[in-house]
Amino acid sequence: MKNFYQKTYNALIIIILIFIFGCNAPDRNVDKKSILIVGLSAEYPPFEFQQQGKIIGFDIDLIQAVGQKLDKEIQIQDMSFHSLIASLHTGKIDVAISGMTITPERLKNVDFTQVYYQPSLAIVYLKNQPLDSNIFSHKKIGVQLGTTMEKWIKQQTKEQQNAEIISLDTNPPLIEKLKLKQIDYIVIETLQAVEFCKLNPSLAFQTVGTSDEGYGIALAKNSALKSEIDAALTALQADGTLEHIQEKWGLKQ
Amino acid sequence: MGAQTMNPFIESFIYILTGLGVTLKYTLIALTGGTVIGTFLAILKYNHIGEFGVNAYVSFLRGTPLLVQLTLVYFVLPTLVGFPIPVFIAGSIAFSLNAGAYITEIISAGLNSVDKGQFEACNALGIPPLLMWRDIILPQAIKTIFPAFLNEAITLAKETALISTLGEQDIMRRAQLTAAEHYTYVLPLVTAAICYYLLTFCLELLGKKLEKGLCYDYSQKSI
Amino acid sequence: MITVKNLSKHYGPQQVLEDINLEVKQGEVVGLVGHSGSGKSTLLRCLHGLIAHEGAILRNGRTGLIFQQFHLFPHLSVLENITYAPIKVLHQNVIDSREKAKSLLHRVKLWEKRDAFAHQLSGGQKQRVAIVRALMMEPEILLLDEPTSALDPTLVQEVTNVVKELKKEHLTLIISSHELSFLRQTVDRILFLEKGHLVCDQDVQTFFKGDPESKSKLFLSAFYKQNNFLHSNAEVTQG
Repeated sequence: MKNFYQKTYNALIIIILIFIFGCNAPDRNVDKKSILIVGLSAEYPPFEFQQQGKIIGFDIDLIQAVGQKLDKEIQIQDMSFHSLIASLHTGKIDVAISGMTITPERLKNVDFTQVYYQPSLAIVYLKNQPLDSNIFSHKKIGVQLGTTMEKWIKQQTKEQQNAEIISLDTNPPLIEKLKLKQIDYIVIETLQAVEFCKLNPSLAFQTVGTSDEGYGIALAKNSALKSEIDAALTALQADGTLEHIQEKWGLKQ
Repeated sequence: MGAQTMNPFIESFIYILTGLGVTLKYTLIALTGGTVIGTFLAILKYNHIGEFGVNAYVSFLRGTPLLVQLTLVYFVLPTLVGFPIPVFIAGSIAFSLNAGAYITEIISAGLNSVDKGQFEACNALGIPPLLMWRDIILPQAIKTIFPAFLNEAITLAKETALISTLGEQDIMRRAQLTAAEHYTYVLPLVTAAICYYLLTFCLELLGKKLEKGLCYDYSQKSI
Repeated sequence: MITVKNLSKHYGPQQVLEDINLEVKQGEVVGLVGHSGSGKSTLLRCLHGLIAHEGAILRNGRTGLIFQQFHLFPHLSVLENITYAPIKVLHQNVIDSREKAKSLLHRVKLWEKRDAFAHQLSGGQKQRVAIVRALMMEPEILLLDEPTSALDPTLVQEVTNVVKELKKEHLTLIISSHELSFLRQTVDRILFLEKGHLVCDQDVQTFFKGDPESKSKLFLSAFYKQNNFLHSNAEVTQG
């Protein structure tokens, strides 16, 4: 009996130690004013994704360049896409850059900088089921929730009552559904379409144009950083840095 | 790059497997915190102290989704207490509170399974409450408590996957990031499933071993 | 040894004991009889101090209580069962405790079973362990709640022998029981409880001869009728 309690006691000590060491205390050395905490969801290549343990992508390079202009250190925090806006509201992050489209609904809750990229839209479909002229009627169309693509397709199919739009959180499950013929095609960003078709020989894509909406950097409402970051973005555009980063990641504007 | 990097599948597999450490961390914390809360509340409930409060707590924590509870602790609680709460603390609190509710009921059932006569015998011998609970009642209650407790441990191991929504790089999050990185879906998720199963399988093995040591088999016929 | 004045006990609206007055002297062996629900168990529990009550109980020594169902600790061995309280409550030295346990177990012929567990023992053995467990706390008064009821009727003789051993130790005993023949062989005095009242307090001879009109006689006759005259035969052979 005593042995059991001894073991339990030891186990408790070990757990308390794990607790202490598992706690990542924030670095107090750096002054808060000179850090920019950036939230993103590293599930959207080539804008942000994880490779060999590091988070990289277009958005990361862009925000690093912005940080340099503002003389601030960038701290990246990955989380699920849903958590980004809540994290802005509660001050967990200063800005969010995550391939986030500027939409009127989002503007109700957060502020955005100017557009830094306008995505090109493409339709991905099965090679053995090519698109016909009625691409919108009687079709099941997959699209990522909350994106400019979703907005676009909803607009296109407004008149048609018989188009069904299936919105999911991320693109990979949509690809699976397409392969299973549960949906007819997907509307996604051209860059992603390229990669998906490379990896899935049964799929093909076709671009359908550039969106008139764009990605922006999100900030909490009335954030003091907005004007600073807008100025930085303008500067990056002017001195060619923006174009350089775009080329690096294969984004053409 | 080709010659230097490992086979990408193996690389990804190891990457996702490493998330086991984070998952295990949260599971153990939730179990410990939950057990402390559960034991305390179960004993209170047994002695009919603060029963309304205990039942209200159990009812709410079991009746709302864990994701909602986690969100409340991480996003809302800081505004109430006035200082920021990091992901690790928020996760620990939310998971412990949730586990505590279930464990309260488990231990409560265990306590009720102990013959009332045992309490009487202890009183008759003048055994004080602390010793009574520790040496006489709880060891007998463990027999009923243990299977349900093991169940809860295994459930917790899987539920901690919710911490991925806050960015913690546990098994789930690593699987999601890998899926995005390689534009693939099924393989990383299957890997994640294997990792979770590894964890729960080990928990079950450990559980069986512990059960032998803790739960005295009263039906043994031989000396 | 024990003096009881105006003892009453109620559970809510139900009056279980009412205005009990009695006195037990040192070394006396008292039997407690009555129908089920007459308050025998409650009285014994009050005498031990296990439950709250109205009225006063003055004790001149420690009491020990042995339950009808024994309530041995199932997860501890016989030896552990009996030495737990002395070590943890009386803070006795472990070695001394074990020595005492050894001698007591030898007396009840259970030393070989010292490492056995409750489920491995017979009813009679369990009872002896329960008695030793109480004795280890060095009481001057032993209260036995229906020691024969949980056992096979053929084992009543065993219990009688145990009680005779206890008498040798000059312990004061209060034993509640339905087994009248058992009581006749063991006790000096009978207390008869009915619906919480002490209706009769007589020495054992007087009780069993009994005046025909008294309630005790009614009790006796009803009891004999119920038990198919087995005990009336025993009555005849009693010496």
